[in-house]
Amino acid sequence: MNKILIIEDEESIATLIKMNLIKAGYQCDVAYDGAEGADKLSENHYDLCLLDIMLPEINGYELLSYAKSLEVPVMFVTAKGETQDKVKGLKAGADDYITKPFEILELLARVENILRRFHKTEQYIKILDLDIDTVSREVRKNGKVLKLTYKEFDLLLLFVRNPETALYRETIYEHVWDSPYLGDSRTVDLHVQRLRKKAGLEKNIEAVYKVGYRFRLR
Amino acid sequence: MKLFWKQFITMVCFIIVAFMIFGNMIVNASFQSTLDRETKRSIEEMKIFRYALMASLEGLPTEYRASDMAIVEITKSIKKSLENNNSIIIYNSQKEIIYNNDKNESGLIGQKQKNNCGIWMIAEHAGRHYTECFFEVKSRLGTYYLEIGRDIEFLYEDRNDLYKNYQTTLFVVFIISAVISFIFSMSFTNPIRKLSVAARDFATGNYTRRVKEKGNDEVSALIIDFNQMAEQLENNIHELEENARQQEEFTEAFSHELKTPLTSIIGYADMLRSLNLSEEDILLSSDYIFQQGKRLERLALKMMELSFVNKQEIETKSITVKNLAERIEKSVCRILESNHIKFIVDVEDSLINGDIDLLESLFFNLIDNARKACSEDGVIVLEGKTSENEYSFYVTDNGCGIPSHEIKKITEAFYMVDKSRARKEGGAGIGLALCMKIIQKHDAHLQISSKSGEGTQVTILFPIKK
Repeated sequence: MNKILIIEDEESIATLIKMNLIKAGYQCDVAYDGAEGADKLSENHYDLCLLDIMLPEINGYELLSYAKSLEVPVMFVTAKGETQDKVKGLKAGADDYITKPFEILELLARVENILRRFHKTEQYIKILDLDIDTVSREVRKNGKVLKLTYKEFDLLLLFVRNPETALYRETIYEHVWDSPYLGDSRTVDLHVQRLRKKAGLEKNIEAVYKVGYRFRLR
Repeated sequence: MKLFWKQFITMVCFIIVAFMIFGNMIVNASFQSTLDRETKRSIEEMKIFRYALMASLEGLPTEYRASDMAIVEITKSIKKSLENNNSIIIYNSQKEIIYNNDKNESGLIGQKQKNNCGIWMIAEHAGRHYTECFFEVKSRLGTYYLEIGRDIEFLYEDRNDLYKNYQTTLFVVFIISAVISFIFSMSFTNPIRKLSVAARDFATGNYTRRVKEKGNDEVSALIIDFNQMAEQLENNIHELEENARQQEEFTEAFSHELKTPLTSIIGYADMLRSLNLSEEDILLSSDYIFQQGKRLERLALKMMELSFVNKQEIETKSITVKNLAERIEKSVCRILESNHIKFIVDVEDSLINGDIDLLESLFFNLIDNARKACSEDGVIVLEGKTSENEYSFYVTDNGCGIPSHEIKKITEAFYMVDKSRARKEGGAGIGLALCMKIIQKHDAHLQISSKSGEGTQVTILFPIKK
């Protein structure tokens, strides 16, 4: 299980991130100022650090170099949204940069992405009766290989990584197709139908009225 | 052409021309006077010769029959006794030459002029100048004519020498005048050049550039004017930069203040709509949404107040401090009582000019800030003292104080010394910025003195207009 440190002085935002990361299956620690963050970084080993820039005591840039020295990947989570701030943050060595206000799903996707880059995610996911190899993009159901298209595989990964979560069609479209959703719900519906059929997940991927779909584990 | 070269060339030309004209005049005048003198001398010599000749001829015995030869002999002897190199030509009555000691010459006076006796002239022959005199010698022995030429070439040679010397002098004068003009033009155009370099430098953004000035001529006056202009511009630019910086910081801080609660609201709302949360989590999420919404509301209200104060022209009225103090007490007593903080009012009554609503808001903010700094059982004192031309208010608390390096920044909008504590107490970081605006509108001054851990005293000085 990956361990993530959140350094954020806004209690409400820190709790928000923590709740969602725990739901997504990560282990979380929270520090409310720079000094506390530095202490936690030195005491424990983390797979990722989510860092605010404007922090009391020690600011984000200083903490960044400290975290880098401990070889902990860092993602900035900050209200500083100007291009020059992003460039400064990334140049200083941050592995990713997300600006407030952000959507939880995007934050999770970016966290996932960084962990994968640093080979800290599990390559194999075992869920229900499915075995998923995220590297070779192969899915087996009871040992039998399923023939999924590229998009169907991405769609499956999205559901598997966000279980028990109502995913809006809009969100699904933007994550799998990586372009803005223009109201074309049929594309999503069609792919979900095909995935359900191919993977035999008719019962697990349930439609949520007027919203989209939810992946149930029961 | 550059001013430097204009001035340089004009000066050198002027000096040279003046020297040339002046030198020429002097040389010519001195030449003329020596020429006159030499001419007179020639005439004198001629006269002496003539008398000598006439006397010799008169002195001859009467029976002596003169021949031309005798005349020649007499002339020769006279010439010898007079010891000069004058050339002599003797003519007989028919004006035929009977003697000529000027080997190559047959006289320099033309035939026509030989009709006039006693004339003189300056003649030039073979590159040499002569004074030529022609006169008649009448005696018993008959009439003869005598022409005496005197070489005065030395005068011309002297003059040419003088010219040559003068040319050398002129050359030296030219060199000296060129050097002097150069130095003078340099010293004249140098300040202008410096000014021009400085102006160009200034134009490229070096606003601290000034030019040193000395003397009190027009150029120095120009430099003084330039420096004053530069000073003024520099101040204006600094002011603009400062304004821009404050504006930028304000915008940045404002967007931060806006984004933070928005992130929470959007995030928790998203959780509520897409996750099957437990009862407890639903409560927690909706509480966060409510709190952050409230925070946005406070921010919006304060911002409105701030922009209201910014735009509004205040109406000042004479108000009594006692009346103001009563209103302040009324507005803060509830919030202070609920925090168990003691509030003491001790004001001298006086009249001040101001807008009572804004002043109430000012003191409410200051006292509310003091409250946030105080722990339970804190004490806040509002004092007022009148002096000759000022009325001073003191808001003193015994709270946590402000670290000395933070005092300068606390009047900037959104600046919070202790963010988490300020948030807990419901601050948005705009209170003191608002106070500053109100204080500025009243031409009053703010002083803050504080000791970390011991408390803070805020002093506001109102001018009393008479």
